[in-house]
Amino acid sequence: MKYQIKVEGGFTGITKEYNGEMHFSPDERKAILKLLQNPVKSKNTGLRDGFVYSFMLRDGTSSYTAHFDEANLPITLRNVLARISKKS
Amino acid sequence: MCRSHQCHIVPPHILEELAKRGNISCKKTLNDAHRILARRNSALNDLLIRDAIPGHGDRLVYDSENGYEQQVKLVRKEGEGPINDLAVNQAYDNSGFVRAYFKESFGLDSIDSKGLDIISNIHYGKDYNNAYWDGDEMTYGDGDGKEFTNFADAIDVVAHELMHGITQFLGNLEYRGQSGALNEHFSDVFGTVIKQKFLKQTLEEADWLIGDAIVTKEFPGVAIRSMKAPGTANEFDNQPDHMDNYYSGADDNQGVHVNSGIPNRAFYLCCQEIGLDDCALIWFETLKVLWRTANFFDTLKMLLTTANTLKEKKKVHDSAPEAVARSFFEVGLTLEVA
Ligand SMILES: [Zn+2]
Repeated sequence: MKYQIKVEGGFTGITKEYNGEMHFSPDERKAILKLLQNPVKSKNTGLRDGFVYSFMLRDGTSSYTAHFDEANLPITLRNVLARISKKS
Repeated sequence: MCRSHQCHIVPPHILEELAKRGNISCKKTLNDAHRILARRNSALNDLLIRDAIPGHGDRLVYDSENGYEQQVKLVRKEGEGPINDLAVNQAYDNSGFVRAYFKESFGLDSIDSKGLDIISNIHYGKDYNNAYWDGDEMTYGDGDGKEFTNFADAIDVVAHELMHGITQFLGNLEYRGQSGALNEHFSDVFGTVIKQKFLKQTLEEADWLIGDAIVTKEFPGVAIRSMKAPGTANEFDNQPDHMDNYYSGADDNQGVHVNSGIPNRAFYLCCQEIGLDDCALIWFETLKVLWRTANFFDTLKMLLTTANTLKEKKKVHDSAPEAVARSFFEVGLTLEVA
């Protein structure tokens, strides 16, 4: 799947962007797309200096976009981001 | 006079207008109402949310053990000695220094002036390049070791994050646009003030850098921000030092970490004229009378009012109001004369 991930804000205010392609197993792919289609509403409005995460994944001709913050970024997507940032 | 129990039935936009005109009880009610609403919304979303527990301003340090949860393992609490983990001891000592500064300088009893316990989470996540305040507690990453190191090690970072908590309870400046940039500004102001106290520096010795202790040698710059010369701290630093270069884009909640460079530079200039302590007092007292949606002009107006009041009480230098006005004029902000 092709991905475009933007991490902005944080104490540093330095934006990081990751663009590329990554292979996911069918189960992973299903879980990731489910999370992007049904993002959990943020629970915390008191966040200061938290990162804001924007995920855009393309699966064939369909693209899926969702935004998260520190309070509602699912662990599955954190792990995806960790793998991608290690790669770059 | 608007007593707080009456304010609850007054619509928020009227409360905001009254708060703007200096009605402190309305401002407090408005801030409380926003906080209660935010907490209620959180509670509805998460039935397991913790209720605020009145504390004694105690320091509690938790180890996230490189996961993404808070309050995982309590590793040091108030009164306990150092343990064999540098980040734990740094979070404990630095938050203690910040707490003592606000207590001694302004009589503040912890973050909320009601003895809220000071909770720090360290070793958060893997290679996590950030520190944040979440409305209740602080969280620090270890950094990736490539560009950033342990965030709890830096006194200005710890002071900056704790100050977000103090701002939440005093002015609760909305975290977007100019009020958001002011929220960041007040955190940088007390970040640098406390750093200079911690290092026992004079104005001339101070570097006015924010976050210099969390960047590695490989990082393309010397720090995260510079209050003396916004826009020069690193190669990504896009902070303006004048209203002519004001950022009006949507990123970063409309540039909260960007446009804070403008009042940051004004603060630096004002300190050169009347000193760090007078400026800290004026800025802190001003924060108490600001309201949620205050912008740069509102803040300048309230800084001038506060400086005049403190001057009359002989608490700051006689030239303080002029110094404030001159410093803001230098960054392109002046009050329109009717
Ligand atoms: Zn901040």
